Amino acid sequence: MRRFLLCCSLIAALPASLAAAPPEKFEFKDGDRVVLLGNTLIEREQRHGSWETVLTALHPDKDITFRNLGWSGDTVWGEARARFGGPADGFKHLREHVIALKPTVLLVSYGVNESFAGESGLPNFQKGLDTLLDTLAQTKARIVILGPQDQEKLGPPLPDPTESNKNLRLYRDVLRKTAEKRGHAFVDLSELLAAQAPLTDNGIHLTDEGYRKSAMSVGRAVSGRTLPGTGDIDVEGGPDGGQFDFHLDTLPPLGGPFAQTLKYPGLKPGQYELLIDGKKVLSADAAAWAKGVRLPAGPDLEQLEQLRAKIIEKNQTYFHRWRPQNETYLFLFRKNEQGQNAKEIPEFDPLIEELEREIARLRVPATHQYELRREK
Amino acid sequence: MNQPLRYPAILCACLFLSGPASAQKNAQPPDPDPELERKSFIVADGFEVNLFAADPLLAKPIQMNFDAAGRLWVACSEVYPQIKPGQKANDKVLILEDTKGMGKADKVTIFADGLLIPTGVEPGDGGAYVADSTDILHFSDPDTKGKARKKRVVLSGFGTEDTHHIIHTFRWGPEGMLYFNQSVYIHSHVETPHGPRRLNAGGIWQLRPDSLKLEVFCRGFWNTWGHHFDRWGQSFATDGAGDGGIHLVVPGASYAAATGGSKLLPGLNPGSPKYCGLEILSGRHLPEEWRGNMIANDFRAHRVCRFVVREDGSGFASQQKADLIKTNHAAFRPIDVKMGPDGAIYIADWYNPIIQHGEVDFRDPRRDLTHGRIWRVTAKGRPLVERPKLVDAKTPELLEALKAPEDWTRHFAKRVLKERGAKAVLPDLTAWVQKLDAADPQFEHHLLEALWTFQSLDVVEPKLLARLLQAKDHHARAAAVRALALWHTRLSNPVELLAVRIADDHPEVRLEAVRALGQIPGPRSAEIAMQALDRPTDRFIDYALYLTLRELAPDWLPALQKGTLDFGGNPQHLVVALQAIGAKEGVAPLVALLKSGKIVPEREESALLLIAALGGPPELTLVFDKALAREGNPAARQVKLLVALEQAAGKGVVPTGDRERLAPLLKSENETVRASALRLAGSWKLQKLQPELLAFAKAAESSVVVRQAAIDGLAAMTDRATLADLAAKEHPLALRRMAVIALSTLDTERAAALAVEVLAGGEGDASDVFTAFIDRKNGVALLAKALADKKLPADVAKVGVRAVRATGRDSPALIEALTKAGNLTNLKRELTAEELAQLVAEVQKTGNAARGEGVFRRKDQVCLKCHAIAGAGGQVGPDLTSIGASAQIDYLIESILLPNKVLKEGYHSLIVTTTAGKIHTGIKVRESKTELVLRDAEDREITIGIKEIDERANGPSLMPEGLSDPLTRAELVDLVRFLSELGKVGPYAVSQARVVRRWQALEPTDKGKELLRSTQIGSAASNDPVLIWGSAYSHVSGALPLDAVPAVKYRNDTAAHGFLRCQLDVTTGGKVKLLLNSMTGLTAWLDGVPLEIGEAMTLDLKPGVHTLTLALDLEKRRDGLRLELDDVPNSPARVRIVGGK
Repeated sequence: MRRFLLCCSLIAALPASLAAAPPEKFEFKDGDRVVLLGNTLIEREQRHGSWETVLTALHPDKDITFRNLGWSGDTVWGEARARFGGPADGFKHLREHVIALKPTVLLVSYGVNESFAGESGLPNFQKGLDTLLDTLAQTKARIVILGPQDQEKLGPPLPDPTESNKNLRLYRDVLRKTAEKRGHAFVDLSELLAAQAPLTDNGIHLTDEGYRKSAMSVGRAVSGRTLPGTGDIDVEGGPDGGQFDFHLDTLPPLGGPFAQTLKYPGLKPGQYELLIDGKKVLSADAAAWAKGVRLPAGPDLEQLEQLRAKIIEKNQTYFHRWRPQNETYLFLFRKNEQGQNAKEIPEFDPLIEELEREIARLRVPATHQYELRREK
Repeated sequence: MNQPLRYPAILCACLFLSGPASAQKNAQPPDPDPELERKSFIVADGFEVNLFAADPLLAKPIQMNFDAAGRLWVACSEVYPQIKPGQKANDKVLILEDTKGMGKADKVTIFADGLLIPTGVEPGDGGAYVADSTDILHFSDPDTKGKARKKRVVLSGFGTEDTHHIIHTFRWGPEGMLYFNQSVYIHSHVETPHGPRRLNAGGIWQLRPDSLKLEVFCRGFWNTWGHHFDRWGQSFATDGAGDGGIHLVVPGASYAAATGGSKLLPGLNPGSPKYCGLEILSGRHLPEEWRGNMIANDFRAHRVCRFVVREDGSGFASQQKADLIKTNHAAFRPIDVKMGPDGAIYIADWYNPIIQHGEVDFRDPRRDLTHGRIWRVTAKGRPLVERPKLVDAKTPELLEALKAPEDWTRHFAKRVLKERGAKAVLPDLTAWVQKLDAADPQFEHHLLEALWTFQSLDVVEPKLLARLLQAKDHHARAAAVRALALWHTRLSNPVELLAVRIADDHPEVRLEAVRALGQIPGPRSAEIAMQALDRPTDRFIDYALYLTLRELAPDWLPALQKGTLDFGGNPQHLVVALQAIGAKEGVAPLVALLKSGKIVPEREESALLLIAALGGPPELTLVFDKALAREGNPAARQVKLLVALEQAAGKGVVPTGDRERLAPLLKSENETVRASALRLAGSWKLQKLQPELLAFAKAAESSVVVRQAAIDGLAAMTDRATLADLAAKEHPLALRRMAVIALSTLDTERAAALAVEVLAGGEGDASDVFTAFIDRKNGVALLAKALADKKLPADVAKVGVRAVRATGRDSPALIEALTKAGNLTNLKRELTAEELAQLVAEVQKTGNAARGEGVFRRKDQVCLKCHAIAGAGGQVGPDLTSIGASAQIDYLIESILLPNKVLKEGYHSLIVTTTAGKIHTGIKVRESKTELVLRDAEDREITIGIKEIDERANGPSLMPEGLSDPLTRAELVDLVRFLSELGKVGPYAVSQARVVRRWQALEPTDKGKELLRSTQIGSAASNDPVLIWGSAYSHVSGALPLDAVPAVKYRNDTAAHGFLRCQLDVTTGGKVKLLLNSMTGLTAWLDGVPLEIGEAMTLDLKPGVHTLTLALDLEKRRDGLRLELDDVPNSPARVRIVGGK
């Protein structure tokens, strides 16, 4: 086996001009605990997992964990989290949930639901936002504010969003200005996602495909990093072919495009087949290998999907942990009857830890054994 | 015994409270053989039941719905009640098919899986809508291969606080909207492209899936597990935890358990058990008298119940008939019912000996996780309906199917048309409408189906609407008004169209018009709506007006204040409008109206009460003047005004001017007026009148009511010294008690010392003295301290212990002090597993239900004080009609001995401490922004201002421990046996006959006897206030035993008589029949007028509440009394027997 040389992807720290809204100095750090906080946009992300998958894959070198505290219909006042209590209880629950997680990074997405109050609701929104950010500041986490995306115009029978988008813009401006004033990073989803529309089927919520299609741009806008779309392999090998190990530095981009070419000059004339991890992939003649052969979707893309599946499973398990069904009986005013069953709830913790170990393994591209073998 | 008996938690079957050991011992899951289950069914005459599908084809069905192809979609959950750590949520939606048309499913397809407790499924739009915990999903099957390939989230944000409350009961409405329900613990926050929508607590949602327009259709209900539309689009609901039976759903209404403080609309069958599912029967397969009937499942008692629901003014009246199916099979749990394509009735049987998870451990090993059945009920000897072939039918054929007599066929024809879309359907639809034969007796119904089809297709058709608004049939007009409301933003003149219908000849149409106007903003809508008052109204229209006026208040109230609205110059309209909103802004216009003298006398009292509740000092002067008026001021009204002024004083608002003008009322001949004036004098702190208050307190001839009022007045004056004097030894014990209780609110420590002296005096019931201290902040501690080293008679100490326990609050210091002072030994109520098992065995072997009923009925046992059977009895605890069928013996025993062990939802108490230091304990009845209403252990409603609340905490059951202490073991065994038989098939199942179960019986008081002696016995039928009426309850069998009738020996030379009365609530007038078991020794009066008596009497009654009074000659009469209400054929009368306490 000869030495071979790889020339492949490196994590690209992008020039600032490429990122949609370069968060000032924001970058993820090893050991970060990221909490996603917001409304349906955030809540549904946990089921699709695409954004989290990209943010994870962008940092194979860093141990970053994510907790999704999205709640449908929520607002800066924590309205959707009140359960049996009044409005103040909703905010109290929000605060308690966030603080208990000891976040170092907060991705915060609000404003859509609030915007239906129109222009006259702006002062109230500003007040609520300030209270929220003051409260979140107690965690000392770095905060990234996601400005809401526009409602997409999908035509009747769905409503014409022209009016609501006018309002939405006003609320987005409040978010942007507040972020600037407080020195938080701000990512304008409207700008980012409009380019890829339609991403929704109801005008306001991303579909599974919508999350997937937008994941790379969101990942880039938030982290300043991207996943390269090529993973070419240049091998300096012997004339008879042979075996070598190869791994990417980062997983391929979710939703593509990803192209990978294997170039192996210097083979004796003849037909050679490529095996990856012992499995036959394709066959080409020496001249083609010398020029480079485009590889079909390989194990790295499979690994990316495995990573996403594990992230979704982790999120689902965590959902049962922090927002279990039957809270009335487990923790609230009927716990005197069925509270004994609450002992099961912490049993989700080791399951989540186990899944996070899997995620940590899967975020690093595996090394695969490649072999070029002369066909008889 | 002095404390009320309350079973707080009697809901579910087979509840075992002493852990798995005893649970397993008593657990007897039945043999799961479906044929054994089927054979146990007692089926209505003329019907038979066959098994359509059973495990292993399906397990744990929750909801089912047919599709247009006649396939049955079933949502099933084995994960319920709670996902386990590490468990994969893999619940399913199945499709069952009867491909051979044999009445039996022969094919099953797993349409969707990977679900978490799917509680609803409704096929449509190329697949099915499925409830999946927080979300509504739509699964579709583009290649129609039977298995879903595409999944779409339709809506999310539904609450999950309780897995039998999460969104359920999916139903397509006649106009193509998807309806679904959530139960009381659920809090939902849903984002839609039209803005967020929120619903806290129960209600029914209304969704147009293609535009995602989502609204709340109605609010309230504990568990709306049934909802359906009748042939004309009126909607009805059942509640799986409330007791109203069938409910008419008025759009926008609030029902029991609603939050937000709105008035509530009660159900049509008060005193019913709880129901799951609701279907309206139709079609040629069923006998004619069954068509239009409603079917709901009493799943606790293993019954499938039948109701006849008929129009009643603007609303409906419902009457229960004999069951369709009943059984004692412990696992038969009918939870859904649907008509099928063949005209048969299909029933989903959840099959489980255990229901609920609030009371039974999530992981109880006896929970059935594997079985489930679908039963099919057919009428014997009647041909089935030919299964309609709709899916591939041509559009004109589908339109013809809209004429079918089967609701099923019309419904699904419309679904198929909707899914074909407007473009494909409109030309044929328009042509079909034009071709309809106006001479067809069903012509207007066909038009309505066409209108609904247009609505389903979302195509506005103003001409057709206008035609239906003028239909001959009022049903069609009412439906058209509702359709109008849905389209109002796209019509040019909706309010003017409704202005015509508000004067419609039929009240149902007027009601719909009132509600439709509520959806169209603007003061003009309110003005038109009020015109409903110009025609006769009834309770439903009054309620509809209340809702509409509140909804429109942001529009009409400012207009009224600006002077741009005057309700057509009709002051009566304005009074009703202002009453509906109960807002301060209404006071000034009301006062102006009153002064103008334009308010008709029958509305004046309510106007004054509203002013008293909301007005300031100058306005209260007006009320005070009216209270003092000598002319046209009957005592009842005077009392109401005085009480209202006292309540205002409690909030610190008193009239301006000379308040001592009250003095003459202290001398009123009417005792109640005098008492109210005494209290008010105290509340107003009229020191000049203090000597009079003191005199009334002391006077030997003062009645209890007057004495109490005088004491209350002194307390309101904070006259501590006088009260302490009155508590001193030289006064009669009754006065001393009152004084001590009053003093406890002013100087608890001093009162405690005096109380111990009073209590040591023994004799009589001292529970109210204890309660006075228990209900004070620090009262318990101070009383305990005062008791140190003192002695009390043992019986008094026992009463004290019981009073402490009745609060459910932990007060060990006082219990200990009482135990010591009374030298009591501690009673133990916690049973070991062995003791419990032995008691269970005794109940089964030697328990006698007939004797047990006697124990239950005993006055000193006070069971009936809090619990009703079939609506007769107290309303504090759950109605026990079917408790035996749903709860097992060990559960019953423990619920009596340890009432706090398991609590039924809605029966948790709330402990509220006011800023004034008073503690109230009760069950929450309702709460608004301004006040909280509790029902206390004495079945009284207590209203507490939200601002007065200092602290609130959840408390335990209101049923005190120790109620069973006075029972011998044999009596307890009999009592439990009786309870365990209630609702089971047999003599203790409440029959559907409408018998009088709650009688009012005349108490043999001296004053009452004197009245009868000095006049004639017919005076018993008068409303003379000296007559005191208690309650007497019929046996479960329906007859009132004579020993429950107090003997009134009003003359020495005349036989002792018993006097009984009952009330009939007539909502639509007409003839009704009354059936008596025997006429012997009976004399009768109806509304005070002698009535010629017969064993079968036909009465022609006008709307209103009528009182029937009976005198029983107790020397002649040997049999008890049974009075049954029956229909007269073809009579329009709608009559209900009034139940209650």
